[in-house]
Amino acid sequence: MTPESSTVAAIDRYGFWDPAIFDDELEKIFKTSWLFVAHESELEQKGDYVTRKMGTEAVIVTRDEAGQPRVFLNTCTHRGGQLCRADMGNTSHFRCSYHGWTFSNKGELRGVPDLRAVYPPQFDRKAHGLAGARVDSFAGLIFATFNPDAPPLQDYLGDLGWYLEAYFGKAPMEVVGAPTRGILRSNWKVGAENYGGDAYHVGTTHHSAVELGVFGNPEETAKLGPLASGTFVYCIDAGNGHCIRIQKLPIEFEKPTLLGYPPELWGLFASNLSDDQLAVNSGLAVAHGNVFPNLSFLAALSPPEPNQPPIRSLHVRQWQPISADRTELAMWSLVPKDAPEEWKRQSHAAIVRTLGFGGLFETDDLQNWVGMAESNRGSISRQQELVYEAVLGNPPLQSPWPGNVYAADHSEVGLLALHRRWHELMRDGDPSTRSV
Amino acid sequence: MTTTERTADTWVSAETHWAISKFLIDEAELLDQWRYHDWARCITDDFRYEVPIPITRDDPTRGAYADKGFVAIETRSSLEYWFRRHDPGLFEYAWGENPLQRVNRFLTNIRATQTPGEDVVRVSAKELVSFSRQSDPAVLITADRDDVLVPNGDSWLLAHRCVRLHQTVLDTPHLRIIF
Repeated sequence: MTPESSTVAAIDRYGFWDPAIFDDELEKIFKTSWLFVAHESELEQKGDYVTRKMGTEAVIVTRDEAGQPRVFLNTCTHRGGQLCRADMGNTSHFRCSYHGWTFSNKGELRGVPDLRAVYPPQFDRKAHGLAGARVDSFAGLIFATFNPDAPPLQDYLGDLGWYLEAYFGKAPMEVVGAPTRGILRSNWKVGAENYGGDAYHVGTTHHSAVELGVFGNPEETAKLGPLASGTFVYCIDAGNGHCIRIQKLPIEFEKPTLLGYPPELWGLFASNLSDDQLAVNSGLAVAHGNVFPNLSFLAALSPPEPNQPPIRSLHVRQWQPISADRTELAMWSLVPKDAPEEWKRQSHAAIVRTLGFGGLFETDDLQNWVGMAESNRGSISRQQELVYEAVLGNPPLQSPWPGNVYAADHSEVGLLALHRRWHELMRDGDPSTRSV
Repeated sequence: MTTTERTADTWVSAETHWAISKFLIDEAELLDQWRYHDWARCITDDFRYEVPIPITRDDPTRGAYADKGFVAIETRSSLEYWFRRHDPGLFEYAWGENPLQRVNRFLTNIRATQTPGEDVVRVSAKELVSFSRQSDPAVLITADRDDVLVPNGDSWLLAHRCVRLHQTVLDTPHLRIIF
């Protein structure tokens, strides 16, 4: 069970912008946590692989010949040569381009050129397999960690798992194409906390998007059903640094209504969800959150073009740390495999037009995040504190949903959950510690 | 459109090539000047703009771009949001574009071809875009650009533009630009 959010409300800026703290994060956060590495649909066939980063470690994510997902350091055990040079492909073996050592996609060293001529008889190939990570998947999302002491993935995800099932596990999903990648000249946590629960920025940052009508037409929304009273926005501290914010339309729906999805898929979704998981999907305007440390997600509802009805898009993005003020941002679109092809295309287009690198929202978010990096380079600015006092909605609701559910729109409890966990790990580096 | 198909077409006449070059240079200048409403007069009602996701694959026969995923995908209708955002009253809140970046488009290797008997002209070009934001040094980004042009009186209209970026990890401050 997730403990209630504390009221700690100030965080210093060194945590974002100091290079020494960044180096410490790689050890205490990225080396200890479960990290997202791929969606299962990126590894459909045996031998499929993608190359990814775990923190700053280059890894190969592959499905071995037995069908098991595997994650290895992308480095030969002989001299450290790079094994995979492509973003994706299919192979049963990885061969180093330096001396030709060859590994199976289970990580075993299979081939050593001129083995008998070069190495003594006692040379043990079994001792030189690839360095492999622990791998597990949840709701189609594959995670890995090199930390032998990390809790099982399901425990690590804790209360957030229920929400990930609700949004990612309601049907088999597939990635549209491949991730889009770009450099964000800012700190990874700036993006993670934004997705974790920052709705407060929308009115200002996305003013032009609101004015242009990207959130739909209020008159069209009113046609969906009678206006309801009560609570429609929830900020959730899901423990272990995970957080999610759920915003519903203020409409009384007669039955579960999965807005933006083809109605012919609603039955499939319902068959994979509990009643409460269906409820967090029903009447949904937007849900967004962050899997600690650096995997964000967003279930959006926006019209692909002006005057069209809104469509649902499921967006996943990862903030891959490069340095204190540099991050590689990768973005995936996920669609239900069983959706019509034209629907998939429109769903992808809608999210690219809002949250792609040229998207109406993203362009303004990027400016904010880069500006923060540029304006906090000095030691005086870094000594300033940041304000996280919006802990609205306390105490949490008595809710059937897991975690601590705060009924408030602009509550910063989710952001605080992320930073609280960050501080715990940076302080004692013990990944088994639960949030307190 | 594959290279094979392209070479099966024939180069347009020198006179047509000059007219097309003029159209493309004028059109690029409108974009450089952020004159979106004027630029909108250069495109057809069913205009499509696509920037597929670049991928480094181990199998070169599968191509260097995603089949279905896009970095940008727009229609004339969806571009309304781009144009109107630059209008007085909204531009004040276009934080990521205001102050306007210095974006300049350099076109070269223009190859305009036509299938005999058809009006449509296919134009492939190499493009270099320089992009400077605030006090940042210019970021350079290059691409292959494939356009489909249809005749419009004594000039042309752009019906389709596909931009194949030459890098897999983007490093411009944003990509809210038409190549």
